[in-house]
Amino acid sequence: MPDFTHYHFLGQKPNEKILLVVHRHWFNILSQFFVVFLMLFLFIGTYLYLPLVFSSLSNPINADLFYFLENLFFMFVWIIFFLIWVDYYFDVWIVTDQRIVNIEQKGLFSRVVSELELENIQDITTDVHGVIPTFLNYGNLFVQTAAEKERFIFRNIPDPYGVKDLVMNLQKTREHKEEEQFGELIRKKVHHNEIG
Amino acid sequence: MLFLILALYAILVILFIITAFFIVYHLSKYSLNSSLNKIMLPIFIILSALLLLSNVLLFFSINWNSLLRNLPVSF
Repeated sequence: MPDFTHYHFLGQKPNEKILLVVHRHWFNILSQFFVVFLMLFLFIGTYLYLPLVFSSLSNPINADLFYFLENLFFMFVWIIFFLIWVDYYFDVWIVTDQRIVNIEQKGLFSRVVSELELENIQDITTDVHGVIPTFLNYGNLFVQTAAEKERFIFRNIPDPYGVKDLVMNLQKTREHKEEEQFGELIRKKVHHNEIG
Repeated sequence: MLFLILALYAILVILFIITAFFIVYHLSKYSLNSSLNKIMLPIFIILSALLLLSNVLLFFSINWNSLLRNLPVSF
């Protein structure tokens, strides 16, 4: 199991231990980065071939303008690359020993944080749909809660079956612990009544 | 015309700085992994600053008067 001791999130409780941090599958970001790769290809292509095709670019005034525009274009690509990366990297599901935290990042100005206590989990469903998701083993995980009608969704995560097993085991352990605590409480109560 | 170009360029530079600022803000405030943060933040800040600096230098190295005079359409 990977080590998450270096990880910390806003709102983490003092005794809370992170067990799993899940981002979307790399294929999901790859399809978004495809636009960036195309832009980079265009940048390199124009940088190498335009001066060969247009002889007027050898003129110092035009050359200065050309290099300025190329630099400006690269700045644009650089920012787009990081905007996509921020959207990917901060869109995360955190499984701790107490709860599941979903941080949904949409662009730079939208961030939704929702959480679900492990004892509120009723049912977990996985959905791996399509050729590429089946081949690369990624998909959705739906967690049905006891209190809310709305489902908690892990979107396009790698190894949804593994995550499902982990969450179910955690939930069972938690449930078992609660039952033991309740049993202990009843035993104490009965013992107290017998003495009394 | 030169004023218009300068104003448009200033808007682009400001937009770049604001976006870069918010990326840095997210990286420093919401990052889960502190060790990755230590790598990504300096890379982003240094490269963005270098890109911006080189772009400003390139902008001011252009002989705009001569370039505008040679434009086929005069404004």
